[in-house]
Amino acid sequence: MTASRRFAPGIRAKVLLASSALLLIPWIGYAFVAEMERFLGETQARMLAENARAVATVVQERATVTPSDAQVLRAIAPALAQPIALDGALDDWRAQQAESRPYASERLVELHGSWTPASLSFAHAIGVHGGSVFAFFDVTDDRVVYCTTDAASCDHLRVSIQRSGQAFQRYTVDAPAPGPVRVLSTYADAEPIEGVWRERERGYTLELKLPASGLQQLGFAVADVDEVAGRVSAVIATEERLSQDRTGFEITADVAAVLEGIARAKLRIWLLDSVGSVVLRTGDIEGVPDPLARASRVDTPEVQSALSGQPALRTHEDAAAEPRINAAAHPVQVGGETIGAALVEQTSESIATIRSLALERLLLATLAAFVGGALILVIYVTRVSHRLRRLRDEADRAIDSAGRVRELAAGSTARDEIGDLSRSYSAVLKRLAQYTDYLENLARRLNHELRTPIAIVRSSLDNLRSETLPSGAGVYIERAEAGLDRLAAILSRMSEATRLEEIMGRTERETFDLDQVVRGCAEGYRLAYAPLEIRYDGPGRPVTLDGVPDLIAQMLDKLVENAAEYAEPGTPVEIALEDAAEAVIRVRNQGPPLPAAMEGRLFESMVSVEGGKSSGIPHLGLGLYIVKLIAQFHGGTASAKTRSDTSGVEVTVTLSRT
Amino acid sequence: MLRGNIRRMARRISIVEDDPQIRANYSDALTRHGYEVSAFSNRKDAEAAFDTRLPDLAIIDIGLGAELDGGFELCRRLRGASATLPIVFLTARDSDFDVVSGLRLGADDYLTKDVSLPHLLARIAALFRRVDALTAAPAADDALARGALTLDLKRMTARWMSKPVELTVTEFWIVHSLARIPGHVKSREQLMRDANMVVDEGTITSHIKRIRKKLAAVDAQFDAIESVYGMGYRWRPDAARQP
Repeated sequence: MTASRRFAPGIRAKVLLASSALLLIPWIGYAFVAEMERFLGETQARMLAENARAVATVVQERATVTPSDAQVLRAIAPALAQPIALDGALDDWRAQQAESRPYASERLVELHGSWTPASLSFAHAIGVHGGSVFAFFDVTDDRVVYCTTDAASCDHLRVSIQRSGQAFQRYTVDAPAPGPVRVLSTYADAEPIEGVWRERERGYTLELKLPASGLQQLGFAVADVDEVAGRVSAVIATEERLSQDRTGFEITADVAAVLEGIARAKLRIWLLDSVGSVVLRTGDIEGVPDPLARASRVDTPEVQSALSGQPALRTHEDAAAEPRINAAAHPVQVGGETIGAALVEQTSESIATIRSLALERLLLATLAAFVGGALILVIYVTRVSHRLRRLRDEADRAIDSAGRVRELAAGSTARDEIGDLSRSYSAVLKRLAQYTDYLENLARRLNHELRTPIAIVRSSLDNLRSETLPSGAGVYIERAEAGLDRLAAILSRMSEATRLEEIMGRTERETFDLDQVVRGCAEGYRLAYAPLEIRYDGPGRPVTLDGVPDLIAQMLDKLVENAAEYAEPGTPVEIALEDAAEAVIRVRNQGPPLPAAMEGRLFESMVSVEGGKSSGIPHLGLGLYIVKLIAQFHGGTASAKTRSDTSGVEVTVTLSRT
Repeated sequence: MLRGNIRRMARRISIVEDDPQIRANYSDALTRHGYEVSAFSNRKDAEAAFDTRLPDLAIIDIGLGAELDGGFELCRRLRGASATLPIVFLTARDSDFDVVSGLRLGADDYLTKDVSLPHLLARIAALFRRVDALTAAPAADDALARGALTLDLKRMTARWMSKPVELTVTEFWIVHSLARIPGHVKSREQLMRDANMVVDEGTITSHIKRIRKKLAAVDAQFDAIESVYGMGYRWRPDAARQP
C-alpha cells in the first residue's frame, strides 16, 4: 500500500501535466495575430484599392484627355529636367538618373556569324528637353570600325523616324573618327540630326539630338561591322517608340497637388497612360527595396489588368518575399474608354510593425498569464494535495495499533468535497469506533457476565460432590471442572490487555537489572516448558533498565509461549539479550515462517496466526499485542520477522534505556 | 450429650447475593458445613435484617440488582456497626480498582466468584478462627518469627518490626507461605495453593504488590519479598532484621 503510494504520480504532478494544456494559449495567440495581420493586410489592400479608385476618379474628372504634343512625346521619351550636352559623355544622363535599358541578344534582328555580349550589346537612354529628343547609346563592341567611304561598311546606327503627316524616313549615323557624326540619308528634307561619337575601351558611346516636334514614331538599331569595309555582322534594334493609337492625358497642377496630398499618407501614386508610361509619380515609399523607383513605364500585372479595364491588387503575399509592397491599380476611364491607370502603392511595413508589436505584447501577456496561472494552480493544488495528504495521514493513524479509533480533524469544517470526505470518513470512523468500543466492552462484559454462570456451575459441582453419587460420576465432575477452568482461563485472557493497560497507568517504574529478570524467566521456562530446550544468551553483565520488571516478565511469558507453540519438536527456543544503545531482547524459534501478509500486523490487536499447536486455549490475537503494549510502555518497539538462517521466526523487542 | 454441650452455637453467616442460584448453592454448601445461613437478594432486605441482628460473618456481592455498588454501601454500614465482623466480598468483578476499593472499605477478603467452594469454606473457617483467637491468649507455638516479621498463626495477624500489619486472610496466607522457608522460591501456583485460591497469575502479582505496599507503609525500607522472575517469589533470607 505504502509502496504504490510512493511510485504513483501525485495529484500535483497530474494537475501540472494537465495544465500544460495552458501552453495552447500562446499558440492560439500567435494564430490570432497571424489572422489579425491577414485582416490588416486585406484592409490595407482594400483601402489602397479605394485610394486608387479615388485617384482614378479625380483624374477622370479633371484630366485633359486629348493628348498634347508633350504628352505624345512623353510616350516616346520621358522628359528630361536639364538639357543634355552633346559631347558623348554619359555623366549628364547619369546626373538626371535617366532610365537606361540594356539591349543584347534578345533584340538581335540580324546576325551573320557568331554573337557574344562582348561583340555587340549596348545600353540606351532617351529623353526630351526643350523641343529636342536626346538619345545616347553606350555600345560594347570588341572591334570598333570607323567608316572610310561607304556607309554600311563600318559600325553605325540606324535611325527610323516618322513625323505626323510625313512619310517614314531612315537615316544612317556613322563616324569616320571619334567626334561629330556623319548622317547619311537620301531625303531632300533630311532631318537635322546631330551627334557625337566617342570611343571608349572595348566600344564607343554615341549621343544624338534630333527635333522633337511631331514625332510619331522613333526607332534605333545598332549595326556592328568587324572588318574595315566589311559586312555588317550583327544588328541590335531598340523597340519602336510609337505615339500612334495611344491616348494619354494631361493633368493640371491642382490635380497633381491633390494627388500629392493623398500621397502624403505614405503612399506612392502613379498615373500611367494607356501603355503604362508614367504620366505622374508622386509620394514616396521608404524603407524597402523598390525596383520601380525610376521606371518610366510600368507594366506589372495589376497595371496591365487596370489598363484592360479591371481594377487589380498586388499584395506582398503574392510576391512571397520582399519587397513588402502592396499595390492597387484602377483604370482611368473617360467615356467608357480606358485612357490609363492609377496605381497606388504602400509598404506593408506598418502592418509588420503592428504585428511584431502585437506578438511582443502577446508573448509578454501569455507568459505572465501562464506563469501566474501556473503559480496559482500550483499553490492551489499544493494546498489541496496537502489537505488530502493530511486527511490520508490522519486516516492512516485514525485506527491505532490498539484498535482504537480517533476522530479526524483535517478539513472537517471545510465546505468542499475534501471536507465532505473528511466528514464522511469521520462518520465511518465514529461508527467503527462504536463498533470497536462495543467489541472491547463485549470482552469485558462477557468476562464479567460469564463469571456468574461459571460460579453457578462451579458451586453446583462443589455441592454435587457432597451428595451421594453413583460410582463413576466423579469422572464427569472432574471433566466438568476441567472445562470450567478452561472457560475461566479464556475469560481472563480476553480481558488481559484491558487490565494490562489499567495496570500500566498506575504502575511505578523502578531501575532493575534486565539480565537478571530475563535469566530468571528463562530458568522458569525451562521448568515450565520441559522438555523444550530454552537457551539464554545474555551479555554477561547487568543491563540496567528503568521500567517494570513484572511487565517485562509478562512480556517474556507471551513471547516464549508463542515461540514454544510454533517451535518444531526437538528444536530450542532461544532468548537473547543485547546490551546496546537500547536493550534488545530476541526470542527465536524454529518452525513455520510468518505468513507474508502478517509480518507487519502481527503485533496489532486481535490479529492471530493459525497453525500453532493447540494448547486448549484459543488464540484471541492479544498475546503479541500485549508484548507490544509492554514494549511501548518501555519506550521501545516490537517486531517479528522470518529467520534468515533457518526456518522459523524471530521476535525482536527493543527497550529504551532512558 | 457432652459434645452437644461443648459444641457452640452454630455460626451465623449472611449471604447478600442477587443471583438466586449462586445464593442457593452457597447457602446449601455453608449450611451443610454447619453454618446457619441467612440469604438476602438485595441491600434493603439485608440492612433490615442486620439492623435487628448482626451475623457472625457476611459474604457480600458488590453489584446488587440495580445497585451497581450496593455491596460497597452495605460493607460500609456493616463495618460501621462492627469493627470485627469479618466481611468477604464475593463478586464477578476482578479489576484491581474494585479489589482496592473493597478492601479499603474494611472488607477482610475479596474473592472472585470463580472461587471454589472448598476454598471459600477454608477462608470462612480461617476468618472465624481469627475472630476466636482475638479473644484467647496468644500461644507461643502459634507464632512464626522471621527477623522483623512475626506471624500469629492463630489470630492470623502479622507484625513487622512489632508494628501490626493489616492483612487479609489471603494475604496472610501468602506471607506465611513465603516466610515459612526464607530463601525458598514459591511459584505462583504454590502460593495459590497455600492461599486457598484458584486465580490467574496476574492476581497473585497484584496480591504481592498489595502486601509489599502494606509492609512498606510500616517500614519504608521493606524489601523482604523478592521477585524471582519467571519462577515466583521468595522471602529474603537476609531480611532477618531484628526490630
